[in-house]
Amino acid sequence: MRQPAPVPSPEGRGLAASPYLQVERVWKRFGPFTALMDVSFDIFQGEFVCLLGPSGCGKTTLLRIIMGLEIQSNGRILHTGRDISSLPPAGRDFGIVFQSYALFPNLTVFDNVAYGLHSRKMKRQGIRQRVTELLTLIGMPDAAQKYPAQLSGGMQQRVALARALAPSPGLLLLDEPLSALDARLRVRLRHEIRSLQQRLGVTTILVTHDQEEALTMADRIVVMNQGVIEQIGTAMEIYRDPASPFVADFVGEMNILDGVLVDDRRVRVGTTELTCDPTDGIAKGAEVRVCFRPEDVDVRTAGSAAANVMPVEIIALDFLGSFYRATLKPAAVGTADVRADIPIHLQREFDLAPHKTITISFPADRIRVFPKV
Amino acid sequence: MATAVSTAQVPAAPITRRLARDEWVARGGLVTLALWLTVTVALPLWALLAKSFQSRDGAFIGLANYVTYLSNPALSSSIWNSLFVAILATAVTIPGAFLYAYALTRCSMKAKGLFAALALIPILAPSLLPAIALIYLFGNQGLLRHWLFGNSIYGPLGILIAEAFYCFPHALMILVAALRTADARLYESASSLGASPRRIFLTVTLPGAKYGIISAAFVVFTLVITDFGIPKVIGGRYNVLATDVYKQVFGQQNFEIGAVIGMMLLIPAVLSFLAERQVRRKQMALLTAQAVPLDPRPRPLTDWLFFGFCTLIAIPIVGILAVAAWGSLIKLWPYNLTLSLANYNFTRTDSQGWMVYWNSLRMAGWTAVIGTALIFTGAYLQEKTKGLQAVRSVFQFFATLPLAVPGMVLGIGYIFFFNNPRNPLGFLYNTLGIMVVNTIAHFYTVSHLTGITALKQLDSEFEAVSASLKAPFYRTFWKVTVPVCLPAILDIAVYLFANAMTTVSAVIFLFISSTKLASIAIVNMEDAGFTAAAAAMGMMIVITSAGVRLLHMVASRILDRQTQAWRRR
Repeated sequence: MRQPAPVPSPEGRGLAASPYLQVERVWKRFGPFTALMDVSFDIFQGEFVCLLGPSGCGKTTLLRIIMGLEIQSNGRILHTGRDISSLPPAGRDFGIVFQSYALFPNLTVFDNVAYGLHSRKMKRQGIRQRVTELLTLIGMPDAAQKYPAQLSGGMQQRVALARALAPSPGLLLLDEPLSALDARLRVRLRHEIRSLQQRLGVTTILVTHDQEEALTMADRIVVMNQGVIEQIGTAMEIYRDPASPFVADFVGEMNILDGVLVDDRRVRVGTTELTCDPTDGIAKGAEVRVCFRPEDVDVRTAGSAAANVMPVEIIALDFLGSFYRATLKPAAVGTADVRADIPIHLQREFDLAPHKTITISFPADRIRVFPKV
Repeated sequence: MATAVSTAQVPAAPITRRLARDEWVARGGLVTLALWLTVTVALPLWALLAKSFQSRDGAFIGLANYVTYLSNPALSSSIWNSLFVAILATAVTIPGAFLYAYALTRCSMKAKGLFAALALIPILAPSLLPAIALIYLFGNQGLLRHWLFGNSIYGPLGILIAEAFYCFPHALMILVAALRTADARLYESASSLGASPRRIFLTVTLPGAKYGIISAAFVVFTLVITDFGIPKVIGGRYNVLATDVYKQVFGQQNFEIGAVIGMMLLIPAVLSFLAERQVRRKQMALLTAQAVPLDPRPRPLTDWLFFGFCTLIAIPIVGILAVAAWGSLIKLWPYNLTLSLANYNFTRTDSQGWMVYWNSLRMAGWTAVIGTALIFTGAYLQEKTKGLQAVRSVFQFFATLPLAVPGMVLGIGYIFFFNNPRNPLGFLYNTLGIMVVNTIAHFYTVSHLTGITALKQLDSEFEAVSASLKAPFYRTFWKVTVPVCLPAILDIAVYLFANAMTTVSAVIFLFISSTKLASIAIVNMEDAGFTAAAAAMGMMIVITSAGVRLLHMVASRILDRQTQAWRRR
């Protein structure tokens, strides 16, 4: 597995050199089923990390282990270097927001936010001050005496966030916090949560199956599949340089074609030979998967004889607003259809329409080659 | 790929998690409650089972007691009598209750609310009361005894009528629930396909309510076969299992044969309980979330027919209670029909006088208070805390078991267990306390399930959130769970109180003269021939039960208004 260096570059954000939270070789088995297999990663002070993966990939199990609600079968969780594996949830230092928010329905917004402060034996005056501060922070200073049922979904979400942040936890855990909201609100709250997190500098783990959420919010993304970490990296790293066919397919749109490796820089798809970046570790003549993103397909080469080209027929053009998604049938027999995203102006310029035959090209550094498993 | 990492490198040491202080409290609570149920449910039943295999001096004699019992036709004929009455009462009650429930749910006749309320009246009264009313009407000096053409009301006929009256509301509630869950879309499809009303009834309505009908039948069967009050009062020389237990244990002091009869009573009750549970599970699967509720359209002729039918059923239900009330106010039946409150002067008819009524109130009050706290806490610990899987399953099993155990069986189990000189808990024997303990155990299951249902509706992450906020679970239990579940908690309390007021079967084995209850006094008075006083005492129980339910309604309404702010969606 190709994996970027485990320690990310801490420059620019002033991150501490030693990790804040370490997940060390964690396994989790439920009877014969293995939910987590040898999972390790580090999180640094002030970082926003997303656990991203399809449902059932083990991300929620991992979060519950970090919380102390589940116990790992093997491995350790370290918090600022201290092993917290055997501590109960109440002995760990985190705040949590669940998908359902789990706001206490019979308590006002004020009492909900103040709930964790009472446990800290704070004075009444101090509590009032802290709650007011938090309600201002989430932009709801007048909602103190309302009950959760009287608030919209987005407002409830913010109150849940304020309640989790009130005792100033070292770690904020967000378990699919935006899944219950409609699309427009979700986009707005992404930015709100992210900017709040940056202002407070609280280390945060977000669990989500929504790749867009992960790409827009996280400093680093941990992509998981079937109990295994597939890749850890920044949004850009994961998008541009996926470490496995799973990541390539799960994050963003991806064309995946079958091919054969000719030599370490050339791959044959059908009857077309394409140049790619050096592939190391794959034997010559091996069957491979050739991956490239729809937006990296270049139609401007239509008619010209540039390198890395493939003649195709346009099967369909789906209008998706700012671009067309084209379904292209390569002229070479036995090759799967290719999807390409074509900006509107290029479609006009080259007068692209179904049934036309064109030539497309791929930049060599945009093609990723994986061994076929 | 990471899957290539070999398992051999994994450290083998298992992780054990330290428990927070509140987690110790939760586990301690669960163990305590499991022990409580072991002592108040499981061990008495075990004592009964053991006794049925023992000789009088405590030696194990295998099935000898059973052989003795079965080879004595005077005793074993009760098995058939019990089965006969129970099956016949079921056959009589279910069709009537079904039509009544159908009228309440599928017709648009007038006064549905009133009919629903009237049909539930028998729940307020101990089962003895309808039997007493029947004696007033059809007994040796009854007003209407010539209606029987020389047949006697004392015996299977009286038992049958009284049981039908007593079981009617129980069957009705189940059938109303089953018929109410109809999906309107099925009816629309059927009639758009041209099916006649008769065909729709046979192909849609009846199959939809099938499990409800079966479930109601099992419930009625169990109620009748385990009932003690009615055959005691009106059974005459017609012996059934429940009265036999009483006679063997009290009359003959033959505890071993009493235990055998208890086992005979337990077997059909447990079988019926298991069958009913199986059926109920299927009924649940029939409900889908997208079902469209059915809104019955007016059909004048049918509606009036059903109105007439419901009136025909409601009149005797109200009438029987009215007769008991009237009888309790009459000076000397049937010679002096002037009204007076003399029969309510219980000092003339029972050595304890009004004491028994106050005993009942105290017993029911303590049962409601202690029982509700205990049962709801238990339901919470089972539903919302983690760990100790083995204890948890034991607890859950013992919490569901009491529903299958007839009161008579639990009662003699208590004698064998608590009256054992080696039992350190023996000091409870002959106190009001043992009756409270017994009544809580007797009515545990329904209350427990009420609590579980209410708790399941709460967000499952409340406990995780409060742990993250460093609040112990008991603070969240007190601050959030209890207030939110208050309606269900009130339901449990009222259920326990009302049942404690009316129950006879278990406590009849446990009282002494200073702890005698009103419901037991009715049996004694009736035995001694003070029928009017027995009716009067029965009316006191009805008035108390009705009062408590009225109070419950008012309290619910106030609660509703006060919590409107946070319940409104």
